[in-house]
Amino acid sequence: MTMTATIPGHDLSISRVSKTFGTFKAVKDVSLDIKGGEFLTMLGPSGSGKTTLLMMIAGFVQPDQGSIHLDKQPITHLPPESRNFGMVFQGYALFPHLSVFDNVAFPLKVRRRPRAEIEEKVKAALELVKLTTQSERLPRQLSGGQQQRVALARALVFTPHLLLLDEPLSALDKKLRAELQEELKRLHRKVGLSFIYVTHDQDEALSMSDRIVVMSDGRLVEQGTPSELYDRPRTAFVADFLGKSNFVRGKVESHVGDGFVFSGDGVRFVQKARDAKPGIGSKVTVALRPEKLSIVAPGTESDNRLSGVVREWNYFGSEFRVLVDTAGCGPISVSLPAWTAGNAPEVGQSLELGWSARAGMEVQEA
Amino acid sequence: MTAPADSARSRAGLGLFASPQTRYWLLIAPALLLMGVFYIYPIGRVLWMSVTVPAPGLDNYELLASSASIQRMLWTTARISVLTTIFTLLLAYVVAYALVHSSPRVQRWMFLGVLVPLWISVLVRAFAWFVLLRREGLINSALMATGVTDSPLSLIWNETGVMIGMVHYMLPLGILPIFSNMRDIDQRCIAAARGLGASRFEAFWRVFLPLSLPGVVGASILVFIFSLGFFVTPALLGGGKTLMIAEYIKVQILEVVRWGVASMLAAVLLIVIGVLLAALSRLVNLRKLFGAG
Repeated sequence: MTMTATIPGHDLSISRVSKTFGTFKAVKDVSLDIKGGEFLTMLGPSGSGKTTLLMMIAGFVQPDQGSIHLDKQPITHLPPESRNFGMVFQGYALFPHLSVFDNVAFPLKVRRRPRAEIEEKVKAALELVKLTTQSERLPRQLSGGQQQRVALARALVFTPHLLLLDEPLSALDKKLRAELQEELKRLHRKVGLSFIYVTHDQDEALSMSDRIVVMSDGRLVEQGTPSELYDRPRTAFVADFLGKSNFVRGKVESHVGDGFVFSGDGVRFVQKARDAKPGIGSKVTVALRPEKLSIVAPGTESDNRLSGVVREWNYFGSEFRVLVDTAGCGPISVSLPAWTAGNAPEVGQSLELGWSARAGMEVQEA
Repeated sequence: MTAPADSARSRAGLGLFASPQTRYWLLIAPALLLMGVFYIYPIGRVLWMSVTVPAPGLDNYELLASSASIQRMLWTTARISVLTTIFTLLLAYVVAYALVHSSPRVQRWMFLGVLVPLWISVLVRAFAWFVLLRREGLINSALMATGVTDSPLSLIWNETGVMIGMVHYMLPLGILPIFSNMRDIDQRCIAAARGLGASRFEAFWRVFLPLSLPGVVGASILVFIFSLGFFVTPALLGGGKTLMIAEYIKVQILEVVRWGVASMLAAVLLIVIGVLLAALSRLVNLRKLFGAG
């Protein structure tokens, strides 16, 4: 069946697009290239411009400036129905008066496909999303997860050039969401289309994407593979939005080996440089993941040490999250694997935190 | 309800009001009484008269089959009501569509335009149409001045005039249910249709129109029922030549004093409307249509 055959992916190129609504600059000079077959996630807090950018790709919003090309063909001003993009809307936007079958058949009917072909393709699309028994039901008779599958089948049935997904899982509960994330990845591998996925959920972005584009305040802040962005973020914004980070700030005092020594409020730290070493006397910000910190016993070897007092802790089954008030660096959050941490730390207890010179990440402040 | 609470209540002398049902009945009793004396009872009398005056039996109802003038009048009533409903709905649909798709500021002004006529007496409006539509009226003089016609069109004292006046009166009744239905249509569905390859028209035809049909059905029965029993506008703009059922009944009572025939026709109107409402209630949620939902 044609649905399962690999469809050659299409390249999308967005160049310098901007959009202003009244006085609100929703998207500011964004450029982005999406390779055929890629799973690209646009991640950002609400109001960051990610949905507006998606709507410009879909053709519902016209950019004030800039252009969009599909395989080198300009599509900036093409109406949505002429772009041949599949789209899954937030809340699904299934047609409430049509059965599951007719919902999925809709894109084929408006393309005037012959009846036999419609029957065959709708059946295949419903099989693809594992929904074969409910085809005569109305959308409101289905569960949220099933509606989501119908929306997917409807967006894929006409072999679109690419698939746009606007927060498709946001209405579902946590467990179902995890399940459907898996399925979306499987589906992506199977159909071979480019998926452009918009979400504000960092876990979704990390677990599904080939590449993540982080947006904030209408701008594209940073892009990269999930592990690039998580392990080596360039900006404080990404370090804190994608997972959590502590920030240690100070001035560079000297260079050592492949790194440098900096001091903040009288405490000295060693940090490996990202690229070139920052000049002596320049200000640096280092992001520290809570899971890359540990509690060190007095006298043990560690590149960096910082003493503090436990303010509070929380238990999450797999880990303890401990908030430590430190002298000089303010509250620092540490996560400790619960099974090796032994006893829970006590509130008010004094301890020392330690981390390696390679654990921190030099980042730029916004 | 616990026993101690019960006994406490009877000690306080409130035994009469002990059951909640009793209390509610007492609260609505004045309204029920008013309805019963001034509404239910007279209607009952009218229905009764239709089978007793001038003599007991179904003679009055026999006229439905035998009287040519009554049949002609019923046919006129049905024809004008159906046409009024069709024209009203066409116009109301366009207005409601524009209302739903305009900005809140424009919407407020449009609403004013829709609602103001509702607050102006139907009599005043009928006379306003009279001024506009008569042979020497504004519309005819404008048409003749611009050379569209040579002789004045007869826009009044006939069915055309009656229908113009009635459509004007019915428009808000058509617009409001259609608008309230359209407002509930998820705009993302229309966007989804476009995104899936439907042109503007096709998105309207395959998605918006079917989703707005419940409002259209509701509005059409509402307008049709109002049209059936309409009195003032047909009487004034019809010039006595276009006789609809309400005016016919008036003539039977006040002029030829055939109460039996009048009450029979009133009963027929009542039954037809009752049947229509019953049919409507199967199609749409009546409580919602009349604003109680």
